[in-house]
Amino acid sequence: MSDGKWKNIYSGFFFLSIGIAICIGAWKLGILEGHVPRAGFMPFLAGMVISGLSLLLIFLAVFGRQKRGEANEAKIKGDKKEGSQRIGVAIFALIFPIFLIQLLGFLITIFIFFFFMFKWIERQKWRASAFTSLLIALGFYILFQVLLEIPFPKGIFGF
Amino acid sequence: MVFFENLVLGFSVALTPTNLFFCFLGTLIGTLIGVLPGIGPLATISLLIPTTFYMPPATGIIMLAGVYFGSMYGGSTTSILVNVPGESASVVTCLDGYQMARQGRAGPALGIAAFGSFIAGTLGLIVLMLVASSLAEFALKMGPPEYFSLLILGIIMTVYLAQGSMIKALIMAAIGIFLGTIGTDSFTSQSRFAFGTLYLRNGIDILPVVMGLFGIAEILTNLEETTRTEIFKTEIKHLFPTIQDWKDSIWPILRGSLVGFFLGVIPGGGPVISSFASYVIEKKISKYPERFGKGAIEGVAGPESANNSCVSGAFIPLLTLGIPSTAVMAIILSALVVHGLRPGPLLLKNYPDVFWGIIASMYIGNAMLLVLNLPLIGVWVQVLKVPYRILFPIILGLCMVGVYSMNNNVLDIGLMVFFGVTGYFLRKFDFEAAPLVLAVVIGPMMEDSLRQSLLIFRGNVFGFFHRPIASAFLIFSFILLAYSIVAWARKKGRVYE
Repeated sequence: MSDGKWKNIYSGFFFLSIGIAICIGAWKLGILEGHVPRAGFMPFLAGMVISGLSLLLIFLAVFGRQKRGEANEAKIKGDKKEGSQRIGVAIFALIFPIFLIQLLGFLITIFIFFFFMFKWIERQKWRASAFTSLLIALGFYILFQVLLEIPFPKGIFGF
Repeated sequence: MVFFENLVLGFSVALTPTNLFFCFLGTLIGTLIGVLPGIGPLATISLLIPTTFYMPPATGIIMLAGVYFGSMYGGSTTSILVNVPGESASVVTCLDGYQMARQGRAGPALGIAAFGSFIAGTLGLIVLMLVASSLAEFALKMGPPEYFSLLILGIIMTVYLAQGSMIKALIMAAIGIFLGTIGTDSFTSQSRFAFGTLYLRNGIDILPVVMGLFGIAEILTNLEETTRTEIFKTEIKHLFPTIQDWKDSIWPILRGSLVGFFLGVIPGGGPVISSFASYVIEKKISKYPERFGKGAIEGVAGPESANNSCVSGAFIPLLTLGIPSTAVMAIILSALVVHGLRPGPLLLKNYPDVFWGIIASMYIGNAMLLVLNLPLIGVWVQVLKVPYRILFPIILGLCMVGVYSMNNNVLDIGLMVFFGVTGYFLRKFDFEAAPLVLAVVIGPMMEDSLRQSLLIFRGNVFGFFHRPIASAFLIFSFILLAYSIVAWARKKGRVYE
C-alpha cells in the first residue's frame, strides 16, 4: 500500500477512537430528556459524524484504488531526520516557558527561549546566539512589559 | 438618500485621526506579513486581537480589516519577486508573476497587482454597501431554525469547497463543532469535557487554537524544510502599466472582482479559491491560453483582483447575518464579541457608527494600500532579505506573548503549543485546519439555534421543513451533499479520496 493510503488508515483509526471517546463522554452527559436536548446532544452528534466518517476514510483507503503518482510520494520526500530534530527542539523550546515563566520571570524565560532557537535550531555560535537572543529579549521586554504594561510574571528576580 | 447619510456617518468615523492611524497601521502590518512567507493573516489577526482590547470597537476592527486587506496586497510582491507565495491566496500569482519578473517586467506585474487589487477592493465595497442594509433587514426575520439551517449550509459549503478530501474536511468540521462544545453548557450549566479543570470549564478560546494551527504549525512545517529562497535580481521599473497592459488586464480585473466577491460571500469560498477560480476562468476564455504560465499579465490581474474583492464580500455575511464565511472572518467575529458587539442584523441597527465606520475605513485602507505598495516596493524587497532564521524565533516569541496577553494565563501558551503540534500533524496527514477553525466559532451558535429550534418544534426534527427559509437552506445543503457524493461515485474508479 502507498504512503497516502497508510496515512488515511492511521488518521482514520485515530479519529475513530476520538469519535468513540466523544460519544461515550456525551452519552454520560445525557443526550435527550423527552423532547429536550441535553448537554451531551451536540457532542454526541459530532462524535457520531467523526466516527462514521473515520470508518469511511479507513474503508476507502483499504478498498479504494490508488491515486496515480501517489506510490512515489515517500521516495520524493526523502530523508527528513534533521528537520524532525529541529521540530523536536522547537516544541521543547515552546513548552518549557510554560513551566519556567512563573519562576524566572518574563525577561529571562524569553531570553532562554531565543537562545535555544538560535543555538540548537539554527546552530549559531555560542556568542552570536547569546548576543542576538539578548537583544531580541530586551526588545520584547521593553515593548511588552515596559511600554504595553502586559502583566507578565516577574519571577524570583523581580523583573 | 439614506445610503449617502450612512456613507457620511461612516466617513465621519473612519476619518478621525485615531482611526486613520490604526487603519494605516493595519494595512502596513498586513502588507508586511503578506510580503513575508511563513506567517499569514489568520495568525497575525489572532496575534493582534489582544492589542485591540484597549481601543474602541470600531478602531480595533478597522485595524484588523486593514491587516486582512494588506496581506492580500503584500502577498503578490513575494509571489512575483521570489516565486514563493507570501500567503496562500497569492500562490497562483507565482505562475505568471514570476515569469513576468524573469522577462524584466516585474514593475508592470507589481503595478497591475496593486491597481487590480485597488479596483476590485473598491468595487467589492460598493456592492457591500448596497446590499448590507437590505440583507440585515432580511436577517431580522430569521429565527433559530433559519439560523441553524443557514449554519448547516455554511458548514456544507466550506466542506464542499475544501481544497483536499471532503471526508477529511467534514471530520475537521465535526472536531471543530465538538471543541466548541467544551466548557459549561449554556442551557443546563453542566460542565462538558472539562476533566475537572477550571481552565477548560470556561471553554476553549479561539485564539490559541488559531495561533497554534496556523502560526506555530506553519513554522514547524517550515523548520522541516531546509530550502532557501532567493529574490530574483531585476530592476523594478515601469510600475505603471502601459495602455496595452491595461487593455489586457481590465476585463480580467472586472471578472476577478465579480468571481472573488461571490466566493467571498458564500461560506468556505475565501481568497485562495477565488484566486484559483479567476485564473482558471481567464485561461479558459483567453484567445491565447498557451501564454498562461509564461508571463501573461491577465494571470496576475485576475487572481489578484479576485482575492481582494473576496475580502470585501466576506464581510457581508459577517456584518449582516453574524455568520463568518472564512476562518479569518471567524476570528474577526470573535474580536467583535470580545468588544461586546454581536455581529448580525442588530449590529447595523444598534451600532451604525461601528458598521459604517468599518466599511468606510476599508475604502480608505484600499487607497492607503495603493500608496503603500507602489512607492514602497523597494522597502518590501529589503524586508524579503531578512533571513528566516532570524524571523521565525521572533514570530514564535510574538505568538507566545500574544496568546499570553489575552488572559494573562500561561495555560493558553500550552493550548497554543498543543494545537501547533496538532496542526503540524494535520498537515502531514493532509487535513485542512480551516474548516475546524470555522466550526469552533460557529459550533456554539449552531448548537444554541438547534436546541432552541427543537424546543420550538417540541422535538420534531421535521419542523424545520415547515419553515420556508429554513427548508430552502436545508434542501440546498442536501442537494450539495448529494451532488458531491454522485461526483465522488463517478470518480471512484480512479481516485479513492
